[in-house]
Amino acid sequence: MSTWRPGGALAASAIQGAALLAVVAVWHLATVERWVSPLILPDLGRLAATLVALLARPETYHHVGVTAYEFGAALLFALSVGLAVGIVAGTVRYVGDLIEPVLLALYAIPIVMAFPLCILFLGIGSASKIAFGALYAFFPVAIHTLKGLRHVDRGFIRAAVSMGAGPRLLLLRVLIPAAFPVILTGVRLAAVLGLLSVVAGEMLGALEGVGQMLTRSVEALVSAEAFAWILITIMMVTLVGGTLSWVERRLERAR
Amino acid sequence: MSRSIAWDRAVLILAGLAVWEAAARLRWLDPDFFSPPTKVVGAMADLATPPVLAAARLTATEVAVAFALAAAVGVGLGLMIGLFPFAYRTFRPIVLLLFSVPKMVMLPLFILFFGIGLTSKAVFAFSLGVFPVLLNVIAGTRMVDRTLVTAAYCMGASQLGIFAKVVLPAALPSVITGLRVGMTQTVLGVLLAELYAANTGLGYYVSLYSQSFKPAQLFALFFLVAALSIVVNEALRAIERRAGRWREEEVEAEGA
Amino acid sequence: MIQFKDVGVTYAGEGALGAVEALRGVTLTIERGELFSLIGPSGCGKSTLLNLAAGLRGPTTGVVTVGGQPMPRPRPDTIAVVFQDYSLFPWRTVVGNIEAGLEFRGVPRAERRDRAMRYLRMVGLEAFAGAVPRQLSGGMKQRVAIARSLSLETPVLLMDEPFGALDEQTRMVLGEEVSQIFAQTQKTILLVTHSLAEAVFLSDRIAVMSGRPGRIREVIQVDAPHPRTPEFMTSKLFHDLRDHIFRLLHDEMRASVLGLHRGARAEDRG
Repeated sequence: MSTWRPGGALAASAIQGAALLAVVAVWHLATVERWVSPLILPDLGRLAATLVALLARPETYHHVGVTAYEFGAALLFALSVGLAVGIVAGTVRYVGDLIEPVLLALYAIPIVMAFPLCILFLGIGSASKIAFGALYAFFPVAIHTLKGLRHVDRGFIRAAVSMGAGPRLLLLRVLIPAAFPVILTGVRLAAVLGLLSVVAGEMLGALEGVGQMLTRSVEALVSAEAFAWILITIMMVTLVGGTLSWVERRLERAR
Repeated sequence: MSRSIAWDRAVLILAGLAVWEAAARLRWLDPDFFSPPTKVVGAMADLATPPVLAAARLTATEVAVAFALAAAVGVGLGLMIGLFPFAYRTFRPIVLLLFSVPKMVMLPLFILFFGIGLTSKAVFAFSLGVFPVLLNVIAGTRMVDRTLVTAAYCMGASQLGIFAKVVLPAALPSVITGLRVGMTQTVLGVLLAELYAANTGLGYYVSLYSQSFKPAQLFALFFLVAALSIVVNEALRAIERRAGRWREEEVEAEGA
Repeated sequence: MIQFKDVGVTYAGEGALGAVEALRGVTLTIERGELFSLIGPSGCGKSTLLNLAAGLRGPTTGVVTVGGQPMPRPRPDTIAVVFQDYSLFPWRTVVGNIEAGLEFRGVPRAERRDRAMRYLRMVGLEAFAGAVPRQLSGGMKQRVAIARSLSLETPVLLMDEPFGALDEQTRMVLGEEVSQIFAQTQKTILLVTHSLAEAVFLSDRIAVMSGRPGRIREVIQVDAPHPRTPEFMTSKLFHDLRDHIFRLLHDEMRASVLGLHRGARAEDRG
């Protein structure tokens, strides 16, 4: 019931800025005053330098490449199977009714437990990470595609059918375009989850990749490098998630 | 009508299991990896032993502690941020920012900092579980129809009365949604931390069975945990549906 | 009973729109026990006037009093309000909604149920006591809202376009019921409406307002006995009054609907 005050917005930004500064200040003090062991928390200067050095090394990009490859492959699998399942379930009412609750229920289980299974079957190389990432990313794609297609405004369908559209045309020209925003959201979630699960898999058991480098540097107690790898991961996730968010927003505006 | 669909679904799942059983027995799939379901069920006996049960209890404790914290902080903070426009403008962006940072990558550091005991796993799981609760509670509180608040005010409700009799009931369905998603994330966090540390809890046994090449036990454990997660999630979903019965439209869950 | 003395309301400017003068120099006295309507084009400030009487906002200039006392905040013991969107609590049953009002007023638990049911009976909905708002039609929801405000047993009742969201037939029927209730309870009622027929049918007096900034153009008397009957709607008096208001309003309405008033592009403030 309070009316919007211009002062309010300014104060809000001020507090956010102050919070950010506080975090930096506490970090700095913690490292200088040794509240926390430097093995766990590196000082900011060292962190920056390490990050720069890391980005200059070619092997860094090898690991980023491995992770990117695993992520890409996982996403490809997840998209192809997920979209297929989602489209069939979303358009054929019976199939959708049958499997929607199953998918939703499966989505709730901690899929992370399946990772040791993946290692057992596929070894410690990239294949296990790709399988794990694909498994994780499958669900958002399938579920969102299913939901998006099932909830297309009946009015569109009626209009198209009354104009003589057959099932193929209906699917391609009406259903998928109408459901596209929801499907895109599913793809974005799948991409972020897929990348994170690939990295998590690398953290748990791998020979290469960003996650593995992170784990190694933590185990070796080289905290600055660990944080640098964390930052690299965050950058990758932000790149993927941010790009897809941007695409989503452009699409929103264009409609 | 929905009765027969549930039946069909059960048939589908049983058929899948049957195919799996056959494939393993006929060696289409390597039975050393893909234990047939019958073997998996047999392996569940192995899981009923005291050490495994103790591990399960430990995992459950970690989940309980982390979730209790996530619920308390998530609901408490969420209500405040949702109720006060200034708090919303100031803190919600911060919450969103923290949410968007993948906490998973911090796991090794969490373990390093808090050690490999219960604390690190609970804290890590808390950091994952608190955000869905927060985001859903904030959204639910904001969704409270302002005209209802005005009507209550005109009828003489005190601030406390408005909070207890208008805001809380209106936001309740979203709170439950948040708790449901938060629970899923908390369990995920605990298991991930246990898999990484691989020293205690069910995560230890998952790692153990994987490394000592016991796929039947591994599948058995997997199915039991999966079954438990599904049961809990569906139970919470049922409560969510019941609490949200009065809603006119469907509301999207946040942070899922 | 309700007095507006030279009341003006100006909304502070938001961004590029600048300040909006919603009301100017409104002086009006609503007598005890009369049913008074405010009618005017969209944006003429009639809802703002009602909000002043409800104590939901204060005037920028001038004085608003109810029963001789100023209105810095709502007075639930004196004034009950019915809103256009019914404002029923969707999570409570019909009778629960009425009880809610009584809870807020501190009515003891033992009394609440009986009192709620009594007023439900008055609007003819006692069979729906256990229903949830979601199951009710618009007309029924508004009757519950009216029952709720009646149950508070206040001397004054404010109604902000209570039938605005309803179809014509429901409006007419509910209008007759309100007239009956008015005759029975002898409250002071201030009604804001868009409908000329409704204003003439129900009121003792009608204030016709001009477009933004809102001013009172004319106050019209309706001399007909209460409760008003369907026959009244077809009488010559009814038609003359309705035509009179129509002529007064027509130019204002055109200007308002076609967006010709200054500041009328801001969202409708009633």
